Amino acid sequence: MMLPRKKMARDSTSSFNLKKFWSAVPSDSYNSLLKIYLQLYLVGLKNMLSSPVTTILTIFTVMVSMLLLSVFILGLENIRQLLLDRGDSLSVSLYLKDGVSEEQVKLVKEEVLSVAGVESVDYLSKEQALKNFSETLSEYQALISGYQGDNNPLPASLEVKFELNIDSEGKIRGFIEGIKKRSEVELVQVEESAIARLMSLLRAGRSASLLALVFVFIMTSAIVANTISLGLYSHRAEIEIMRLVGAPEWFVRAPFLVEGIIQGLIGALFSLSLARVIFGFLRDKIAENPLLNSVISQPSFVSLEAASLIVFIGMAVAGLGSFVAVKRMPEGTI
Amino acid sequence: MLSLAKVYKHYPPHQTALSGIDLKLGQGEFIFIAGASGAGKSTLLRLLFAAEKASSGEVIVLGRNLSVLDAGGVSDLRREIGVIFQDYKLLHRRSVIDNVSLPLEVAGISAKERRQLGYELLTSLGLSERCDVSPLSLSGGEQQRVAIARALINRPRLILADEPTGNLDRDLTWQIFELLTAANQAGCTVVVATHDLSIIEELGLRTIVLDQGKIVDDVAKKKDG
Repeated sequence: MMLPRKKMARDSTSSFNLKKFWSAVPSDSYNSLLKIYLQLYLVGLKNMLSSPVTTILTIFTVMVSMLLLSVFILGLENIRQLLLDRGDSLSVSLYLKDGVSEEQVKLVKEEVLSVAGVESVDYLSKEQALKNFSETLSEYQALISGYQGDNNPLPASLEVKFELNIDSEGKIRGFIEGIKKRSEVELVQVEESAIARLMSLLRAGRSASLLALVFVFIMTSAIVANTISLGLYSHRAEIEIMRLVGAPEWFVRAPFLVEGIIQGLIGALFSLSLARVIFGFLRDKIAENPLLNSVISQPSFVSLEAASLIVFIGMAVAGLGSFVAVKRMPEGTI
Repeated sequence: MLSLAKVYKHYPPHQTALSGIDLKLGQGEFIFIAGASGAGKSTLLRLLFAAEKASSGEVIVLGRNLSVLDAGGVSDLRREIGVIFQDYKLLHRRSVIDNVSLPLEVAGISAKERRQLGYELLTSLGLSERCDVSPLSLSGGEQQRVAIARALINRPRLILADEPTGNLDRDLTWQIFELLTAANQAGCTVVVATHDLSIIEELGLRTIVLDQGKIVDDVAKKKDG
């Protein structure tokens, strides 16, 4: 089919030879997958720089959200430390049979020390046990003096101290079951009520903190995702046109995932820095106040693990927020 | 190449955009879809490039049944289709040549090759001097030529154009149709939705007339000469 001659005369593109052009397409010069990933990464960076207002807004939102999370974790860690610092580590007494040699005691001690969660093992000889006993009953010295030497009825023992954490109960009970079977051990004694009390306290603390952590996580995710959705609005043309020319979904979303992860990383690092400043201020205030100082003698900043978790959450929330927001962007929005 | 059978498209709550469309189109055809605003032309085109799904009926484009096509299938299909809009849909943050070579970028063609092919095509369209500027600095006719170049660069089998000359004067309109004709002559099937009856009349090609979502006429191509 040809256009009417009079119209053709007006056309500046009448010499256009598409067939010849298409003979060179498609080309064989394809990018490697690595190059494509690198290109998508660069597009993500470019997107960030091309819309500084939305980038700053997203980083700020991530920062505020992660600051909330950091302060929350900081509080939790210090409360937990406060509980542990009360000196309520759990002790288990292993009473040894009479006639157990020093070599056998050494072997039992080594075995106990190899058990996970054991903080320390102290040997208490028969003589030391009697001495301690006599010190607590100083008015009955005459009576006690009759139990010296071979008449000493008190057994030698190993005092085992366990670190206190959420898994202590299971570890202690497992340890008791195992050590009872040793021929050198006569009796194992532990204050059941102490285990139960401390464990219930720790469990309640753990459950409450997990619940609160999930709540804070969901809340911050929602805030960040909504901010990102607003920011993505300025990129809706790119998203729609990329889809229009047949870009696979991963190709469309990858730059925004990269953009979100970088914004999340920056926001989370800022939040930790700010939390550190707030922590330093509060620590100084606590040190100045004798009453607070007696309760919280050595406040600690979030551990490296918790800090890494906060950075990871920041990156994950912002990255996934972007990814999901692009997915939810319908066609025909421009 | 393209067939629609008993296709309906409804929008909630009670709007019917297309009603019982039956249409067949062969390889290498050039057809117009005509009708007043709201007749269903754009909806029909959107069904053809899978921007929307039919409420019922069967839509087959380039051998694919669109009602069962997943997201990956839609992307694959669109890499074989060039779509042109009245408002050009160009990315203003990218240069003209980057806009034109976007389909090649999606196909994973190297940057050097993309630039070379983009430049070659833009030169053919008389836009070689405007390669590195933003599309915003171009006139309407130039922007539409860039949009057409983007649609053509990846050797599409089908071109869908929705009111491609709606914003252009007569001279520019003829330039655009010259390009679409060249694509058709090179073997590409072309579907153009327009309400510009003078163009339809002058070119004398097969024309489907829509009214209130229904095909009311299917005018055959006039004999050449």
